[in-house]
Amino acid sequence: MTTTSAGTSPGRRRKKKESDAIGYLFMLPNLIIYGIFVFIPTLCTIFYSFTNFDLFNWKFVGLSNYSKIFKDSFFMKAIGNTLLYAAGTIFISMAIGLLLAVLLNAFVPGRKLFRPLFYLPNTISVIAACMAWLYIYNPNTGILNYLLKLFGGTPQSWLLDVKLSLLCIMVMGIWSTLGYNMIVFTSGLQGIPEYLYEAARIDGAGAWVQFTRITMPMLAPTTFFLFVMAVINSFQVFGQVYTMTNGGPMNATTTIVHQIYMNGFEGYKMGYASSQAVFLLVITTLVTLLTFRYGDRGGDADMA
Amino acid sequence: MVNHYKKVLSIALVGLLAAGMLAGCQGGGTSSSTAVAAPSEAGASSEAAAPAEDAAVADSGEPVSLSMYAPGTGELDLAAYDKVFELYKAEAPNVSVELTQIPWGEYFTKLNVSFSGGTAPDIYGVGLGQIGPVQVAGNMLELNPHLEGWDGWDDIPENVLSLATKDGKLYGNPMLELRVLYYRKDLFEAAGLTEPPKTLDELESYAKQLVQTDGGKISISGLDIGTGEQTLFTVMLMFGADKFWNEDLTSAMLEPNAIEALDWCRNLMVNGISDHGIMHNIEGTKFENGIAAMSLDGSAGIATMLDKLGADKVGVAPLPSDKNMAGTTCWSVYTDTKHVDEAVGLWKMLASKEGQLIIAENIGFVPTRTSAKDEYIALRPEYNEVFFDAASKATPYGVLNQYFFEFVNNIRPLIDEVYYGNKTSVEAMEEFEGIYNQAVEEAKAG
Repeated sequence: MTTTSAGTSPGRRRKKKESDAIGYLFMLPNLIIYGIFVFIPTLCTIFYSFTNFDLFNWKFVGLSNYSKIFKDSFFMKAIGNTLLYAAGTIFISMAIGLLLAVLLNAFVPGRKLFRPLFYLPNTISVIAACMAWLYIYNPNTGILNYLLKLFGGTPQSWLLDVKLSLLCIMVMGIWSTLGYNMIVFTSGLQGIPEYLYEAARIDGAGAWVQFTRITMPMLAPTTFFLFVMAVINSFQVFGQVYTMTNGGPMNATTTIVHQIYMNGFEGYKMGYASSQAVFLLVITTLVTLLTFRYGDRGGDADMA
Repeated sequence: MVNHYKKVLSIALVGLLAAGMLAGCQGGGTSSSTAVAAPSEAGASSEAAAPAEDAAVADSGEPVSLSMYAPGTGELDLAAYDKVFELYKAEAPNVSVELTQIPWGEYFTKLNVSFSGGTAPDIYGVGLGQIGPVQVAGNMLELNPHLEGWDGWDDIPENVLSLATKDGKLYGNPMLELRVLYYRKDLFEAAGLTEPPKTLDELESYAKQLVQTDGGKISISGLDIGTGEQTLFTVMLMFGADKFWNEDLTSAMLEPNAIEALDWCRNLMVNGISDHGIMHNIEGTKFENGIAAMSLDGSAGIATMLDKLGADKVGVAPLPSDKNMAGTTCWSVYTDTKHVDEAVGLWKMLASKEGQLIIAENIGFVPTRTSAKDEYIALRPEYNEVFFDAASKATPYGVLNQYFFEFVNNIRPLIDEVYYGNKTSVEAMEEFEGIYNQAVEEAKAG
């Protein structure tokens, strides 16, 4: 018996090759940009992490930058602060984002107004947002202390208080990201077929059961995507720290990227800063790998 | 298998994105430029002993374009530099200047990248703390051979020139910012105080009288100490401690006078007379925002103070100290400039009496030339006399220090530890000395 495989006939093979070439051609501009602005700098960063490069001179120092990282009390503090920031912002921002998405996905009067309003913080530049939050947190003239006094509370020093400063940065982080989470969750919600809810209602399922048995599982791919992005973004938190506290008081708000910036662009210890950046790369990759390994990606369901 | 491959690829790309951010840390920012249109008839005049090829260029009147980096922002700054360029154009019509103004926050990154990338400006400004590292890296032209017969040698006090001098070699022209006592006239009057404090004890006593609280929190600090090393150094000078580091660049922070000064600041903080602060607060200083009765701020801030508070509220007085902390933007010439003659010529114009007066009027730096005194004081008599007198007391943190970053980066959190009452001054400075001296030792060992 002679069998002719459609996939292996010379004509099909040629067509596949042509189609592959066109595909690669479409990818080329992006690959070039990625190569120049991400891949090559990353390789350079890894190379410099084994040197004492200071913008003028360099020599190989082996692994000494990496061994120094673990003796650097500032960097250890920064790792702790970054983890705290990530833990304190990711879940709350995603939870509020989901809540808002569900609320605004239902028929709520004025939802067309609320959606852009909640998303607005995501479009504001970090510096402008920081200015607004600095006014809010100002111990003397800020609206937060004004409200506290109005309701009989004790005014706080906020960003100047060692115990509160990181919390203040986290609150701002939640505020600036929840709009994005809300929009992505909303698009995920709109992709859930209505007949699933109709069937559930016929079977007598209440709102909570519908939410936990239909909405949540169907949003798993969206949640997974948002979580991975939030982890990466929160590990890279820098703008609000640099602008609002510059890592103080007493390094209570310094983060990994803030330390990389300080060593690289204030102290010009590019070699050492590169080793810190590579450390961040490893940590971020590990967390992402763990998320992929143990996270619920929702099987084959389409991502929002 | 394909899915597994895609997964690994996507994780790798995510990781690379995270690492690539080191390259993205540097802020974008914008810099503005201005240039002086240059006719090319006459040659450049210069007293300097310039290389033959430069002299030939100058004599031939061929167009020469100088590049200049200036730290800071503001239209007034640009206008001031433009006026100085116009003055220089009268001397050297064939020379044009392209000025790039860069905000302080990203200035040194861009300057250093330009040095290492071979695109350094012919002339540039640096802050007091950066003179050491930039000079040691070999990017500052030794000016002495080019300044024979220069009138600045006699007109600019030695203590000012010493700010940019190492081993007897001059590397720059410092534009001065001095620390003075700013005080609120209206709050003094309300407290029954008729004149500013003249001694350290009076300063402390006045601060106690002037502090105001609201709901248990300081609403107006008696004296703003803030945070960081600059105010501390100003106070150290009042206690007779006049250096942050020794000649060998090791820390001098455990000297008894330095500890005494740190204790003094700490007491103001923990006793509720002064409130905590943030380094480089983008909202501005406590005094200019009306929440401090007195402060030890720089002279260049006077325009902002007057603008925000009004002349009827802002008073200045000399500090009870024999020395004054010199803040500076120091103009230097790049070692490998192709136009030494012209760059030094422009440098001289910036350091001239006329140039300094233009900069003083528009940007707020105190002229360093003795001959500029009367005209400078006439610009703003009530304030400028105090500023000018402080210039004669200007002193740096110590000898030029290429490990300045190690110093400030390590001392700032420990100063905070003291101000927040977590550590005693001695404990904090012992810890600081251990970290900083070791860093210097390691750096020296290569």
